Amino acid sequence: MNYRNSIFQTVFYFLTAWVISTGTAAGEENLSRISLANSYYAKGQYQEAAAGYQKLINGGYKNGFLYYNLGNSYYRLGKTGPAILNYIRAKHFLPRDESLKANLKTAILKTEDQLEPPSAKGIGTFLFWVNDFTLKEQLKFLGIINLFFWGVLSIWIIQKAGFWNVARKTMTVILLIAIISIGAKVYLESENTLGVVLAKNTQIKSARGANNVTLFQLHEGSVVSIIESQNDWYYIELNDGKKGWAQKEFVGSEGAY
Amino acid sequence: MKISPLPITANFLITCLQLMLMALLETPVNAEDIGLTARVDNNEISLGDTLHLSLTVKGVLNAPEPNLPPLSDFRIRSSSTASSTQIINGQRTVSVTYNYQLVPLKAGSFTIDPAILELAGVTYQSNPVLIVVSEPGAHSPAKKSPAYIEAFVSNANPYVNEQLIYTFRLYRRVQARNLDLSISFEDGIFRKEDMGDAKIFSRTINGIQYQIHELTTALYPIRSGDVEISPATLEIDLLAKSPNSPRQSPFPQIFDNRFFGSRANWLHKTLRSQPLAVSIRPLPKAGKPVKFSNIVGDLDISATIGKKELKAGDTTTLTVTLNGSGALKGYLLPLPKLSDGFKIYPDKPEFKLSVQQNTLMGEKIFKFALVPLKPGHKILPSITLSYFDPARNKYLIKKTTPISLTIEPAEFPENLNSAENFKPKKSNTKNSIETTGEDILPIHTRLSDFEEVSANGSDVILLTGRLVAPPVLFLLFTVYIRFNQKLKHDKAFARNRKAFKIARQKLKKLSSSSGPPPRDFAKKLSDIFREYVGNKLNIQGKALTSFEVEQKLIDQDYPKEQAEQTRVLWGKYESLQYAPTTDSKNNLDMIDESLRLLNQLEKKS
Repeated sequence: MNYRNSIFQTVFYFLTAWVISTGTAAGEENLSRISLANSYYAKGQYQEAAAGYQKLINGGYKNGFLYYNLGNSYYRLGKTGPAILNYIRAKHFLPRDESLKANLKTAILKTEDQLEPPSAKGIGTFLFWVNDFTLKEQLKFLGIINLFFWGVLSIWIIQKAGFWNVARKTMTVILLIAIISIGAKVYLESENTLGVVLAKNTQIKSARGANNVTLFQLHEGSVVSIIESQNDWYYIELNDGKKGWAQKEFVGSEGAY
Repeated sequence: MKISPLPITANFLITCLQLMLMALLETPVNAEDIGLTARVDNNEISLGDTLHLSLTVKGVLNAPEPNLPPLSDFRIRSSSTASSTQIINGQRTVSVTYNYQLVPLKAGSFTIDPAILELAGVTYQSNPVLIVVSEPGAHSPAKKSPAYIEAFVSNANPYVNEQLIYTFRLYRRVQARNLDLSISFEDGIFRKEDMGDAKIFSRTINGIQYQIHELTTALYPIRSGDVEISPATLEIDLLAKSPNSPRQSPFPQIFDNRFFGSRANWLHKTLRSQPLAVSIRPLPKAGKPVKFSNIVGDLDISATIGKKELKAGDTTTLTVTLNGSGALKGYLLPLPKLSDGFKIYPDKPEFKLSVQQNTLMGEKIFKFALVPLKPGHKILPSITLSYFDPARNKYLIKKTTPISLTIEPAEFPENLNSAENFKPKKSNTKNSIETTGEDILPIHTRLSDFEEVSANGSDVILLTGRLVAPPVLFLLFTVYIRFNQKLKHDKAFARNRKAFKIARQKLKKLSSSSGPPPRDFAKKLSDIFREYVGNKLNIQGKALTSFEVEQKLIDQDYPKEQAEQTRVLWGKYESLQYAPTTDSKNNLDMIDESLRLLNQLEKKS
């Protein structure tokens, strides 16, 4: 019995230490770097600000406002392509942020082609709320609903008729919707990858290879859907259904955040 | 049209049997017995027939395939091998026959030179064979044959760009399979458009009913001059009856196959149509309009507008539709010439094809988004189309009806500028600009917003806890509820579960009592133990003897040793009742022993 207790204690201490250590991983240093980059931005030193934000992102730091600020810095530098790409990446973490939506629209209006991200299709239309919540938010919601569901089920075991029966059925439906929503979110994020043209202009080819027929031309900041990735080429689709192959070096993928 | 052969045929089985027989009766043969013979099924054939050439090697079964002579005037279509063994009056003769199907490529007299076989250093030669290939129809009229083809054009003297219909027809009165059609139109002379799948219909010609397969293609000559459309070639397998079986089956579709033992066999034929001469005329120079569309045919043009009354800055759609028999696919309508008061955005044209009365009709729809810039009454001028009508033999111009528009002032006047036509890139064209302004919103500076959002250890533990803990707790709760319910409703279970607790309490009470008479002590101890056993086994324990207890415990799968110990202890209780002792130490030992045995029984229960 003592041996078993000591194992449980060790595991408990290890987990506690892990939680504490990861909780403080963000640390003061990252926040001071963000603060410094913000101050560069405020002084109009957008190049330095962008470099500061980018360095944090390259180091694996993930935050929607960080991408947002980086997008703003690129916009100020006149680089609409990288600006739009970072706004789209920020949208993953801040799906309901109005400032982000406004800045993205403004940046797109600055582009030659004015191609906007595709609107929701298929599952995205049916489960319309999925795109308005991050995966993390949906998992948190699932956790709470899960707690309520089992709680209600426990009471229902004792008191099967009346209110608790209705509550059990309602909680079952809500739990199922929460699970389906998470599944849809994962599916949509893996299937619908957006790309943004980063070069001043790029030629979209009929097949992989620079010698193939040029189907059309896209300019910096054009938002496209990436259907497939093969070697150095993306197979892209525009909102109007036009498709073709674009060189990866000229197109930034939102999935590469 | 392909029919897969049966996996195992009678010929195959016969060949296998022959090979087995050959293995059994293997005897050496002399070089003098070996010979090579060439044979054909017909020395005089028509172009389009298939010649069957057989090379037979006699006297040896495992000979290599003879080398065929050069056959530049024929195409070898297929080949097969057959071997045979005959035993007549004890004399065995063996042979291997190599069969070839030859398709003649041109008419004339040809000699098939000897084939050569090299065997054990000896060269064997076959006999030469003379073949006469005549033009189709020289021996028998094509229209009496089981199948024939024809090709023709709707107009042998078309203008450049005028549509002409090329029609190919296969007439057949027997079953056919493996159709392989080859029609070639020279590039640079015609542009072609398919007119859908082949039509199949029946027609009686000279009292004979034919199934007709008709395939049509629309051709548009690209340049003028005399040209020849190459003959169409159709390779086909036709069902032919054996001369030994002239009787026509009443249900040929069902019974003319190998399964029902029909003697029908398939003949391969190559059918050719006649070449077609077409003289393409250039378009007349006289009367040619300056902006000629280069379309030849019978055409129509119309224009419609989405809204005739609208406000400055609103959008309406101008739709121009062209339809007719001309080559419209590649035609692009120039942008309508409108006054400076409009912005115009062309859409991608739509094109549709349809077949009407054996003519390929095209419809091309051009759409233009129009944005009026200034209020007032505007007229959209007519749109013209100049084309050449070959039926009337002259150039024609068709115009759409002018469309009048009433433009009211914009509700929210904008700085609309006609000079920005075709540059819809900046602002003013989308209402969203008004809501966002011309500049981006500022950066976020609140540091608490910058918490890292990637999943860390605490998130994972919290999420796992939220997902796993509730069902685990629910499971424990369910077990607890079920346990309580069973205690409440199942008396045997309740007695069983409570037995040890009751016995232990009573034993403790007995051990702490100051000093009951010894006889009473032994009885109480015995009662406690009897009650325990009775509760455990859900029986009336007080009336049991020590041997009955032992047997009941064994029946309930208690270890034999414990059952025996119980019996012994039970005996001690009884003897103590009748021979009491005043030694309190002995009493406490009895209680300890009882408690030990109860613990052991409880563990095993």
